[in-house]
Amino acid sequence: MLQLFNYSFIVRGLEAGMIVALICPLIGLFLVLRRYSLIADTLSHVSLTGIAIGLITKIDPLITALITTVLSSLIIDRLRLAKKVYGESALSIFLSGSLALAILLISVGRGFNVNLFNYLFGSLVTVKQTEIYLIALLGLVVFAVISLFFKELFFIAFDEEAARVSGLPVGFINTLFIIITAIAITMSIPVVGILLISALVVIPAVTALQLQKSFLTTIIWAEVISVVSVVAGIFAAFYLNLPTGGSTVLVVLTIFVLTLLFKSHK
Amino acid sequence: MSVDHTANILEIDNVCFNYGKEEVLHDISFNIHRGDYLGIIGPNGGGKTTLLRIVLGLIKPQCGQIRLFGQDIKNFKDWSKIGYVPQKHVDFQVKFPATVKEVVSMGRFGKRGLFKALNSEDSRHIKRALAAVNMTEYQDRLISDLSGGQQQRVFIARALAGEPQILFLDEPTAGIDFQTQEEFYALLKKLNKDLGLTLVLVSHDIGVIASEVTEVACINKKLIYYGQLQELRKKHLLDIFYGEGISHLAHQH
Repeated sequence: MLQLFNYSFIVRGLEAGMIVALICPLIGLFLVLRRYSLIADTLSHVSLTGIAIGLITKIDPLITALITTVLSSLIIDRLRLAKKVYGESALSIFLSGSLALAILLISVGRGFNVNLFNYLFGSLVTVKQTEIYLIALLGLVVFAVISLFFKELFFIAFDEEAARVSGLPVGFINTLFIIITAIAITMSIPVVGILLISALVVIPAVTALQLQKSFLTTIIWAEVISVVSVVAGIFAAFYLNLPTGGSTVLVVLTIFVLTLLFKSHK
Repeated sequence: MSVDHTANILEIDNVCFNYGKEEVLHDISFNIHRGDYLGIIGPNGGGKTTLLRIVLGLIKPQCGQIRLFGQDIKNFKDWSKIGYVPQKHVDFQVKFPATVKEVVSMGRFGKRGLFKALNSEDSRHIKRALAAVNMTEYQDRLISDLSGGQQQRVFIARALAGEPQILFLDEPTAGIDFQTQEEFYALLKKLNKDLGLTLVLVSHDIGVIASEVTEVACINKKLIYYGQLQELRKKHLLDIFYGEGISHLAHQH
């Protein structure tokens, strides 16, 4: 068992995995409660455009993905506020639009297919030490923002209008939240891959909600479920020679299904 | 508690509001004084909820002015003086994971300010607010596990926790059974009489208004009547409503 830790890539993978596992449910619970979890899917597809730009320009794809997702999240937020399009339609437009752009870029830059596969499905094996630093830094930013505005985010998720009346800067906090959502999505790419990020954002939160506890307890459960899934996913990937993204998501899905079964038998 | 009913808490001056070409409110003016128990009544679609949203700063009127505690609403910052009890009760498909105590604590967030955690003074106010609405024993229950009437009491406690000077309630008893309603209005009366809290109750239920409030504003696009409930009685309630298209409300309940 301990031989696993002799491989530096696995240690790096676990480090990155733990950070991502702790951050994703924090964002996820607020998104799920506000019926906005689809944005995780949209932003992860948007990040593919960023990855493609990075691979073409030879800039670190995580950096270009970060810029692309943050900018897109701000535009999505403006569209939603302008009320010219429904929030969900804005998400659909961005999802398909960015995917189309990404496909064009990928076909222009033929030859990075192997790399691309890693970004699509996640591959801890390829996480570089510099990327760990970047993931840790981004994780710290997301965690700091959530901690600083925790009580306000809680109130807004529960009743946005009452939060406004009580004088909270709801518009500002909403914009800030959408930016850190984009950051959280981007930093998760190396671990679970673009196509599976939303699972790690949404499923631990939804599973913890089944337990029907207080808000704080729900967050703690979402964190526990997420960390267990990522660690188990990485171990399974190592021993069974599987891609980490797939194994992690299947573990978290299993926990979700077991929770539902347990609940219906109670 | 004796209250100076002449001090203005809220001044509404020539307010109008349109949704596109449709006029919703036309030239509304009246004041709410300290210690008032005002009922804002009118038919559904008559603009009373729109007026409430304007007064709470959620939407801007196309013309006219609102002053809260003597200050133009555009510059008003002291929102903790305002308590708001929304109409909706918790009816989420996914039950929102918040205990009664967590919900009531939200009432302190505005007062405490950004970047600050709640302290022991906040806990005291949260406890007191829970006690005022008789919900102390439910504090660790999930809000979604409570009945509509209990939830409404929790939302009042949330508003009270912020130590407001005026409380706005939007159709607070919609969908709540009759006996619970009676308890609810007894609680409101107590808050108004004992604590001197100014209350503004928005409702389409004329029966409730006639038996509970002391001042009335009838709104159907225009301000049809504003004054003491007793004066309104003298003028014969229905005489005023007939011809203004809201008489049918008296027969609904």
